Parts: sequence; C-alpha cells; structure tokens
Amino acid sequence: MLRARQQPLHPIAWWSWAGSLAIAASRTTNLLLLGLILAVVAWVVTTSRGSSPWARSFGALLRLGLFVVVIRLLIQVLFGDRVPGDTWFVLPSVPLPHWAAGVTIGGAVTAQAVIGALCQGAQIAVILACFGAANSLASSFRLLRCVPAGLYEVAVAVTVAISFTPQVVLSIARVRDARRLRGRATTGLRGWRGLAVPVLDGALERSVALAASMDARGFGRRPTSPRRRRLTAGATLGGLVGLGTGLFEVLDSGSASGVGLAVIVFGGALVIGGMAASSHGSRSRYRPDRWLGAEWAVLGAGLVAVAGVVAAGGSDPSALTQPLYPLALPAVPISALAGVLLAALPSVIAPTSALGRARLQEAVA
Amino acid sequence: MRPEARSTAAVRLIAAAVLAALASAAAWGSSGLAASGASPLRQHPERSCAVPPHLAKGQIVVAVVVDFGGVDAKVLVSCVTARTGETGAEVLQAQGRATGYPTPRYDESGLLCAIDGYPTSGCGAQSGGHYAYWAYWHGGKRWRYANDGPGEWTVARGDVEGWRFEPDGSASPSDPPPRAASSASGLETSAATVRGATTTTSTADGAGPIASAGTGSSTRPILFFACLALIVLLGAGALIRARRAHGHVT
Repeated sequence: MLRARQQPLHPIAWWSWAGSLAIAASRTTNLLLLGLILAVVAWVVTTSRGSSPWARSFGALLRLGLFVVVIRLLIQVLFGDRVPGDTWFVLPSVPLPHWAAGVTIGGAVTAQAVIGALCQGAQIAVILACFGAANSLASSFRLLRCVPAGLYEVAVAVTVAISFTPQVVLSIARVRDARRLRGRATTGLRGWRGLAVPVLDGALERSVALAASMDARGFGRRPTSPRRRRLTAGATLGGLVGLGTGLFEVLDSGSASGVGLAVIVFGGALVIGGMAASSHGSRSRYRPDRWLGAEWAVLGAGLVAVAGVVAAGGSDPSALTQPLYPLALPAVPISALAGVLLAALPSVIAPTSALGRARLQEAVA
Repeated sequence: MRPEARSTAAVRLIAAAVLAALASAAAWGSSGLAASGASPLRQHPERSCAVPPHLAKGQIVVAVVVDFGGVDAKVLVSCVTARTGETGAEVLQAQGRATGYPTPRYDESGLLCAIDGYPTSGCGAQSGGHYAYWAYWHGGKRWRYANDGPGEWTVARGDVEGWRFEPDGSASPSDPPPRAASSASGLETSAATVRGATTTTSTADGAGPIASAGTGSSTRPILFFACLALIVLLGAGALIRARRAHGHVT
C-alpha cells in the first residue's frame, strides 16, 4: 500500500527489517547467500536513505566489516587452527611446549582454513552491514521516541546505546574537517591515529550529554507514585533480564529447551506487564510516527528473508554452509535466495528520500 | 587400567577433541612434507600393525581405532604407514583413503565433523547439554582423552590413535573411550578378536559408515552464475547510486 507522505518510515519497521536480514545472515556461511544479503541491503540503503548526517553509517560499518574480514584472515593465517586440507603455503612455525596446546604460530596454511575463515569473517561483516543499514535508514532519535514507557527509567543508558553509532559517524566527519583545516593528515595510519581517540571520546560524550539533557527535561516522567514507578521499573528490568537469559539459553543449546522457553515466557509476561502498568496515564506526542501499510510491508519483507533461509536450512542444512571437504562452489538454495531477494522490496515500498525532498521543496515554494 | 590412572584422566579438562584440528606447531619437517600435498601414506597391505621388514627409514606404522559408538559395537582398526612427525589429522586422512570411505569432514572453524562419512550431516550437534561428536583419544597403557586437536598432535612410533563417536557425549574426559585395546601390543595380541569385529560391517542399523559422503554438490553452474550476476548487478547499482548521491551533495 503506497501513500503520499513526507514522513519517513517508522524506525521500528527499518530496525526489524535490518534485524531480520542480520538473523538470516547469522544462519549461513554460504558466500553466495551472504553476498546477496549484502547487495540487497546496500541497494535498499542507497535507494531509501535520507540526506541526514547519520545516513553515512552504512558506509562506515561496511568499512568496519571489511576490517573484520582482514583481521580474521590474518589471525587464521598466523595463529589459526591448523585445519587440514589442501596446503597453499607453509609459514615458518615455532614449536610450542606441550602445555600450550591449542596455540600455534605459523605452519601449513590450507585452502580450507582460509576459505572457512573468509566465510566466518564475511558473516560478521554482513551482520555489521545490516546494523549499519538500520542506523542509516532510521533516525536514532525517532527510534528513541518509540522506546516503551517502561524503559524511560533507564533512559540514559538506552539513549547512549542507541545514539552511539550515529554519533560516531557524525564525530568522524567533524574531526576529519577539523584536522583538514589544521593541515594534518586525514588518511593513512597517521590520520587514523589522530582520529580514533577524539572520535570515540566525542561520540560517547555527546551521547551522554544528549541522555543527560533528556533526563534533565523530565523525559518520560509521569506523575505517578514513586512506589508504583519502582514496581513497574523493577518488573520491566527483571523481565528483560529473563528474556535475555532465556534467549541465550535457547540460542546457545540450538534447541528450544524447556527451561529456556519457560524463562522467555515468564520474562516476556513481566515486560508486558511492566510496560502496560507504566504506560497508563496520558502523554501527548508531537507528530507521532504512524504504523501503516508500508511499515507492515517492510516488516514482512524482512520476515520473508528469514523464513526463506530457515526453510532452506530445514530441507538441506548443508546448502547453507560452504562445502569445504571437498572444496566446491556453494550450493544455490532457491528458497533462501528468493526470500532474501524479496527483502529488497522496501526500496520500492518506502518513500524515497529524493521524492520526499521534492515534495518538501514544493511545499516550501 | 589402574584406578589412579583413571583419576588423572579426569584432570584433563580441555575438550580438545571437540575443537579438533586445532593448530599444529608441526615443528620440524613440516615444510617439505606438508607442501608435497600428495601424502605418502597408505594402508599397510596386511592387516597387522607389526612393523613390516620393508619399511623405509623414517616411516612408522600407526594404528587407528575408529569406534562408531553405536550399540552395534562397530569398531574399525586400521594400520596406516606414516612418517614420523606427521599429524593425527594426516593419519586420519590416510585411514579414510585406505579404507575407501570418505575422508574426514571438518567445518569452517576446523572442528572435526565426520569420519568415514559418519555422521552424514551436522557437526558436534548439541542437544540439551550433550554433544554428538567425535572424541579424540591417544593410546598407550590406557586411553587418554586428547588435550590437543589432530592437526596439532604429531605421531611417533608405536602410537595408537583412537576415535570414538559419542552420540550423547559431555565433551569431557568422562566420555567413554574407544572399545579396543589401547596399546599397539594389545591390538597385536588380541588381533584375532578385535579384527574379527573390525572387518565386519554392520548393515543392520544406520550407524555404520556410508560409502559416499553425499556432500550435495547439486550446484548447477548456470544457476550459480546467474545468482552471482544478480549480486554484482545489485551491488554495482548501489555503488553508482551512492556515488551519484555523494556527488550531488558535495
């Protein structure tokens, strides 16, 4: 359902879309599938991102992903497990004493070791790119407005957590400009050395300052009794901890164990209860983000990708992994590829930034 | 098997067999030997781990015990000729070639998934707190749970390499060891009984090795390259759009 609107898509729609693609990526080491996920994410980002400063988050996290892949490969080659297979080259190795079992320096580097490491690195890089896409597509400040009322008590932490990545991207641009004006290096190793500390420092400081100012202005405060507030905050926090441990239990064991599911259900009930109790009372919103057809479509597109990958894994688990013994081209799991390709639909559904800008200019003129 | 020996075995905590194929310092001689690619290993013609008279200098015979861990008690004992200093992984590879079964399968992290094509899929599959994995053991007076991976362990004269599939293992030295004698001499003396058990293939249940790994290489090249082209197209489109937007802004 398309509609004319100047307002960007609901941030939660973008975050759930990107999260779904990250989940899909986390279930596969098939380079073909990972490549398609990355291409789809990049396409949607370039077609649908706005002109906001944090729209460059995607590029920054793409570079970070590349860095991760390089580091993963380097560690594999220098200190990695001596995975047996077809030897490519042999590095001089240092014999280590027996108690240092599991640690090696140098040795035979096999094709299997390098390609396996490449697949694992690429998986992390694609997940990072999905995170960058979410930051690029949705304003973190709009996302902050959707934080449920039950979490306002931890507003400072939530604000810092949500706004850190876009602040880093803003900070990089600012420090770069400052260094360029002073005639210092902005590229290469020297440039990076001068960049890293002020960027991290500045981004964290600005995030904390934002959180503090929001707190000072009574962000999310409501006239309720302190006892009730403590109760709802405790329920929400306890429920979130339960949800986290339950999810960890289920994801770690790879199967829905009874205890994990019970903890998830209990935690979920606590969170819902806490939020319901705290959301009573009226609060007005200025130009609220609405959840309409386009949002449902974007959410659905992400879920289709996950469903496709899960279906492909259910019918043939080896289709989602890179075949190493023997080395071969990755399989072509049709359902997974179709699902991921459908996840590119938001580039058509979402109001494009160019369109939005044109409308805005018309309105101004 | 002395009781105190068993208690010291419990001290060995690291489930290195789970993280099989860890590193090999590979130490001396790794360069020439590993680079040669084609391994000089082969199964000794007669099924005895006794040192044959025509063994070349620097070569040894290593016994490899592969216990499929099923209720059916299927245990394969192979004698593999190796060079001193070769890794357990290379010996295992040679065992696979010698027996005609698929060679070992590892996953991306180097974890050993399958020996002789068993199990056909999955890798150290976890259910509850248990793992279905191949445990790595070193022979000797008794079976010792390996503290290292097969890619790291180098074999020496008289070694016995033990592998047992633990369908419900705890990934610790408390998992049961292979059901065969742990020493080369033990394998010799009980050769008749052990080898009687080894050579029989259990066809009743599916616990035995399978002839073909079935690695699902049903990849159709046309489909693969069509998909690759799609990725490149999408990526290039995104890149061009990004460039254009960048140029527009600045």
